[in-house]
Amino acid sequence: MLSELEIGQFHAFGFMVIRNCLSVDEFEQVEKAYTRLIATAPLYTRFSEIGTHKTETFIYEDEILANLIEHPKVMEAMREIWGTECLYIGGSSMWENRDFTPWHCDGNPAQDTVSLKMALYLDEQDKDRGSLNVIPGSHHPGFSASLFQTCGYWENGNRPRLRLDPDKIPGAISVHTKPRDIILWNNHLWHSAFKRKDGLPRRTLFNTYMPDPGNDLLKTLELRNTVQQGRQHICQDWPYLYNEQMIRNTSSARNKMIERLKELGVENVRK
Amino acid sequence: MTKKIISLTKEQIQHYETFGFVVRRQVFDLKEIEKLNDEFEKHLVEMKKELEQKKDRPFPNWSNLTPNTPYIAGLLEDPRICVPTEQLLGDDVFPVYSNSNSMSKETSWHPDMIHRHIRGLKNLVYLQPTTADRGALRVIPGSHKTSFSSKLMNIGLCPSRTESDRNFLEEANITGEDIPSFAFNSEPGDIVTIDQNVWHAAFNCYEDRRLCSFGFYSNPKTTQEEMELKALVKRSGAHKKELTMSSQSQYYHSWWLKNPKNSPRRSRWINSLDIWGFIEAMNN
Repeated sequence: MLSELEIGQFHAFGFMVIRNCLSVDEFEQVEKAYTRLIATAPLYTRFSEIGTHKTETFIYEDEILANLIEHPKVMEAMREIWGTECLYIGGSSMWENRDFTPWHCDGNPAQDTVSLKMALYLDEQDKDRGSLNVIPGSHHPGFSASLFQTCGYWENGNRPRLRLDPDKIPGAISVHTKPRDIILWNNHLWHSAFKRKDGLPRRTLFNTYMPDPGNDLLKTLELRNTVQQGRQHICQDWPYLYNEQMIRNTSSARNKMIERLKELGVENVRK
Repeated sequence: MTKKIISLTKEQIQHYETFGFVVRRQVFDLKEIEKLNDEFEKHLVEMKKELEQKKDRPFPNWSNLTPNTPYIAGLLEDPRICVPTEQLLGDDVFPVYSNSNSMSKETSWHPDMIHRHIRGLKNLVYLQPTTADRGALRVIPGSHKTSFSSKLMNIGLCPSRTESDRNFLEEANITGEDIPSFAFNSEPGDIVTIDQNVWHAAFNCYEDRRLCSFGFYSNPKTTQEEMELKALVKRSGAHKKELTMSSQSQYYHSWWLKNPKNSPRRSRWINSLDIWGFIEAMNN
């Protein structure tokens, strides 16, 4: 599916777009499910109180949306990028975002641990319409460290941010996408998204993955800890990474993923 | 009257260290740019005459360290050039070249250096306005960092330097302008200082494009830095062949080497150039 070039490009610049990843039918179903669930999603006020809604439990509440986790084209792309299967680690979120999302990286800057984010934007996004913005190459630890040490700060003690004028970061680009496109990026890439000029919200879904650590014991521990920490705030109501509904509607790809996560010692993969 | 800007601020130094370049606007005023253009023009006219007889020369490119370009030669010691350079590379930095060129062809993506220990930078002064559509320097911010640079090399963004046959732009069917980058839109008087490890290029160039370039290296402190500098000396000797003025057999003209005003800074520089072999390589 991906050429060597595209794989190299991902490793160099930290992101790629899988154009028309979803079929027309798939997209229509996803959009319907999104519209239904976002209507009851809680208000998210961390950025402001202007009316952003977010839910992290959509994968438990809708089979169509849960199936995005193991979408074959996404799995194939990640497999080709990393040379190994990638494992779902949670980090799912669905947004109706009216806020300015400041420049940040996921997790602490300059980490070596690899994780990937998959994003689906339900509308066409570009510079004026709330696209994902990235600083290409900023996932490289040396660049990330330098960026943060010289231009960064911790918001609320633990969220990495940049002090730079958000519109004037040298080399930063807006990633133009259309509905049905999927963006994959290295979670350490510095990224942001601005409000749409037409006033509409950004409608997005995210899932997060890590490459299979294989026999690497340290990476295995990192994966276990990442899953656990990422789910701490929802585990009371949703104790398992895969709930019963997801198990009932399982595919072979999902079964394989579940078994592998269990094999790696990840806790609470399923009941 | 343009305000004299000498030292870099802490933020500018941080910008350079993070992104691999720093821009300073309107460092030289119009009168100074006129002087630069006068000397450049005279030399360019002579160059073109010589080029007409030598079809194999790629583009007009010459050393400024000659009695024919005294004003440009003096810029190496202008505090607006050497003080920021010393802030970035250390007080014992030394200049290796002061070049002028008029290149109408595009320069594809490349780093000047891929050495990881010795440090180098160059200060670039374009004598005409440049934009993304008209010959502006472009850089890939952060690409002076090892991990990023090596990935760009691996994908074949600079085919002439990769060991494999990769040619990223050809394989991806895109142009160099499609690579995410920062374009230095400049007005005469602006200076951009770039780390010589940062990937840079220029597209949409034009006839009579005018650039003055002042390159410096840090003084080696470790064995690895010494080895890398020696490799650079060898390469510099090879680059000397690209100079298109056959009458300019010495890169460092004896007029400049004499140091008539006994400048301690120039004296130190000449000593470094001599010790490390640059004078031998570039003057013979």
